[in-house]
Amino acid sequence: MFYLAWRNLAQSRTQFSMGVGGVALALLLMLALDALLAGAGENLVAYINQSGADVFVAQEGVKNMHMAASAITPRDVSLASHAAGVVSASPILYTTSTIKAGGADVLSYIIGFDPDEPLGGPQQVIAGTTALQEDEAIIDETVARSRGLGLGDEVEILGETFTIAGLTEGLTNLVNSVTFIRLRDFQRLSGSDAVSYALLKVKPGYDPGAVAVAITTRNDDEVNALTRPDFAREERQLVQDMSVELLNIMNLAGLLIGLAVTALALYTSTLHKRQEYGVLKAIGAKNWQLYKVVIAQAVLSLTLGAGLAIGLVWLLGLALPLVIPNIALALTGQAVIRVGLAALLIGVIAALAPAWQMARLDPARVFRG
Amino acid sequence: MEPIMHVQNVTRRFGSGSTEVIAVRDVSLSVAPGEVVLIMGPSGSGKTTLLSMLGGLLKPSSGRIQIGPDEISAMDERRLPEVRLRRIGFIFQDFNLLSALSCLDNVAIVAQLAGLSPSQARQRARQLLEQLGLGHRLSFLPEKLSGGEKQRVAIARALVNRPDLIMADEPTANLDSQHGHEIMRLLRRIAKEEQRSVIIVSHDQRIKDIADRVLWLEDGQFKDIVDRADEWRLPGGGSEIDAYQWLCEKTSNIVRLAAGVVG
Repeated sequence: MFYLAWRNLAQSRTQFSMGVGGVALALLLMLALDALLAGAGENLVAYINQSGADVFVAQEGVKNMHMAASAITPRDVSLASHAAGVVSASPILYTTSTIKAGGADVLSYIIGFDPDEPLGGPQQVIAGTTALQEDEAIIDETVARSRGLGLGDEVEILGETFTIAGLTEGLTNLVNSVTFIRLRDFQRLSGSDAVSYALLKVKPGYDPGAVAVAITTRNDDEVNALTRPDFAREERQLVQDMSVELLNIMNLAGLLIGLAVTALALYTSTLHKRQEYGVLKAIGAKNWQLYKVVIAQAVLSLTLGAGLAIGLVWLLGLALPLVIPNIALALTGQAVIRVGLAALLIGVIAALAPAWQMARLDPARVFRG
Repeated sequence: MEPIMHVQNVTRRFGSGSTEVIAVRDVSLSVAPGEVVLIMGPSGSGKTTLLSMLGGLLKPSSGRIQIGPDEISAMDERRLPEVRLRRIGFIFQDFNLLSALSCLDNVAIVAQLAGLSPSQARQRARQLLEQLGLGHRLSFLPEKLSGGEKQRVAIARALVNRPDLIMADEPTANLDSQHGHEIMRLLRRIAKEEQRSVIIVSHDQRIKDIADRVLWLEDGQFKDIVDRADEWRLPGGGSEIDAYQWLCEKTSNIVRLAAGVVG
């Protein structure tokens, strides 16, 4: 019956291509947005992931960086640095602002770091240096390229002119970029010696999770310490929370389009083959054996459609950054499972009408021509 | 010899009250193993309804239909497909092959429906098709076959589950005279060699000589039953079937003549 389903599908190549293509496009709609948001989420946590820190210490109640304001004292940093298992505690000052680069405003995280500290600064510099001097900055090469800037050019950060002394890679996303200046410059511009976060390096053999709990507890809960994966997860979650409505709408749209395409293709195919199914029924095929043909056709169309959609998103993920550098598509296992479940749901619903049609088919009609 | 099919006082009504139509009226029939029975009659005589009932596709309003030990007229609807699959082979007027499947697969799928594994089913289908002279056409789609070849595939499909009974609905309607005769001789040979009973419903006068028995159905009833069609004579010397054939030919000539005049 599976073979018959396959042959039925393959018999009309145009109909087959349109059916599978329609399903693929519908699932692509779901998958591409998901991948885009997942990619944005990954880009958003690029600094966190590249930082090399095992634990992030923030103000009490603060669990991430994006849209958050965290302030911890030098004493908090010092306490953290003396916690068991901690090798170093590097302070950073952080805010979200716009920088003037090549005559345009570019939204950016501004991170003030101490070049003498092991952590906090950019870990992947592709040109220039991380050993910043006064009024020197490091910007991401995507921004530099798009604005026609290079080492030695000037940018305006927090109202002051800085000279580009280094270029990073992979720190620009759909929304913003990351710009580094010296902590001392940042503190001078903000008129405070407060810092936003401390980035801790943990000794080998120590569990970063246990270190984070110990720091949070020891500082009378005035700080919140999270491991790097937890901190990144909270950051990603924020993107997801912000985009969940949009994602749901697109998922629903994809589901409905996929359902309509599959249901129509299956129904048309069954209608077209009604005489042949009648013959099979007359010969002695049972209803469930015919249902298997419809279900197999749905499974085949949807599997091929889903495979095509996944393949297209994967190819888009490779091609898109070449065209638009600050966009990344990340195909997650969760998204693939969600699309798989959506395809299953589409298949079940789409097969109902043809199955009903088959159940009602009168086998005696084959003698009536 | 025990009949393979026994039909007793079968009637089929459609509608009720003033719209009631009796398509088949009080028909009785027995078919012996290996016997070829030809049922003839004019359009609207009830042939299709009768064949549908004999094939377990339609329930009679009254009467009994028995195939071997199974009384199919009283059988639960859910059990009928199994009887049709294993005990009856169907041959249809329009061949009704599955257009997406090759010759081999058209035959094999029916064996698979009966529970054979795909490889066993294909092996049996291959043997049958080779016996029927279609060994060189196994991978062909139906659209690539001639009418006679399609009907031979249909015969192979009807035989693949080794049924006791073969029901053929106008098996020569879409074939020319030569192929029609070939197919009918083939059916007769199968019936005699394998002791399978064949019931044929047809308008085609040319095939009556292959039947052991010809039944004339008119207004839902068998008008008369004779052992050999050519023994059934009208008072003028010709058979009623010959008279019917003569009438058909004349009608056809009149239609052609009228078409020529109009044209």
